[in-house]
Amino acid sequence: MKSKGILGIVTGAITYIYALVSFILSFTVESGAWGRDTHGSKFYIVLMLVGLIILTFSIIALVDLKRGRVDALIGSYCFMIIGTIGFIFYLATVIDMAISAGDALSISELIGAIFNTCLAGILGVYGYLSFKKKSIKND
Amino acid sequence: MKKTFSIRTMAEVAIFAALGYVLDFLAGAYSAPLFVNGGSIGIAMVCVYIVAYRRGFFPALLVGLIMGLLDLADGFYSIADVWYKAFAQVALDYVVAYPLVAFAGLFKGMFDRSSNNKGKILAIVYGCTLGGILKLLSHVLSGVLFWSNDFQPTWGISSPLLFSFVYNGAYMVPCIVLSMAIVIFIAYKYSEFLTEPDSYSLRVSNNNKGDK
Repeated sequence: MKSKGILGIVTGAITYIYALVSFILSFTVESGAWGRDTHGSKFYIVLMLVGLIILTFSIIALVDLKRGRVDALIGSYCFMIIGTIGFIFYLATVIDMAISAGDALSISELIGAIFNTCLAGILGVYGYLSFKKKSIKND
Repeated sequence: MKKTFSIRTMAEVAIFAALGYVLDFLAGAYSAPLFVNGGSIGIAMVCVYIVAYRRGFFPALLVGLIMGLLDLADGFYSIADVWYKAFAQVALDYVVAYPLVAFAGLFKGMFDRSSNNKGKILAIVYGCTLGGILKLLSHVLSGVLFWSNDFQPTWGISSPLLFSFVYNGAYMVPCIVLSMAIVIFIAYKYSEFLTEPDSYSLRVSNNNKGDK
């Protein structure tokens, strides 16, 4: 459990730092119709959030372990939340691309986004089922 | 002394802020063709409302602030002519708007004290309406700052204040109603979800002791 917690902290921190640096690099300022249009990549913001969630849950797991309690639900809880967030994000990306589609390049990106939506959905459902199973076991 | 920000509260704040951000993005994706000047019909406010009733005003304020800052980091429009107007408009639209929704948390006491569903629903209706209206006012004020410079009569409305109120009300009112309906549904079906977990588990264990 302790090694899993430490692994979670390392993974979360690396994901967060990587996403933060990539987000800063993706920042652009353009002149729009109304004034200045400032944009960063949504993908890296969500990746930052995922990194932070992994980090937070790992810290909770380690703190609980130190206090002598082990919460078996924490892993499935993490899967469920990250799956849900990923699912909503990629679903929004698909809708956004479908509405503003037109160029040839977006077709491959659209397929990628649909694939990611399904993957995140499966992860969310897996997390939920595993959460439910473990809750029944705990009762 | 009761701690407002335990590690679990912080984790919930982070989760709901992340969920609120992606829900806001989802709403923005399908509402973009409808509201070309910004705004969307979505349920992102539910995340702030849930934390407001579950954990109270300050954690909800933090959720709103994080959601606003993430929204700001994702991208924003600013007016080029006067810097302080641009600053005020961006602050009102992104930094201030979502935290104002946390004022729903002022009705947490009323919600917790209510023993029947009617009282709980009244607390939700008052809280959600107050939070939603404050957010609407923030957008209206920002719209006036944005449009006041060279406003052309639109939809037969010649006043920038009235136009801003009608435009922002067009998406904010459905947002408030939808979010309120979802929170009421949660209060009906899964009331423990809106109750502070520590007090809930304490009450359950006390009831169990009483049974024995």
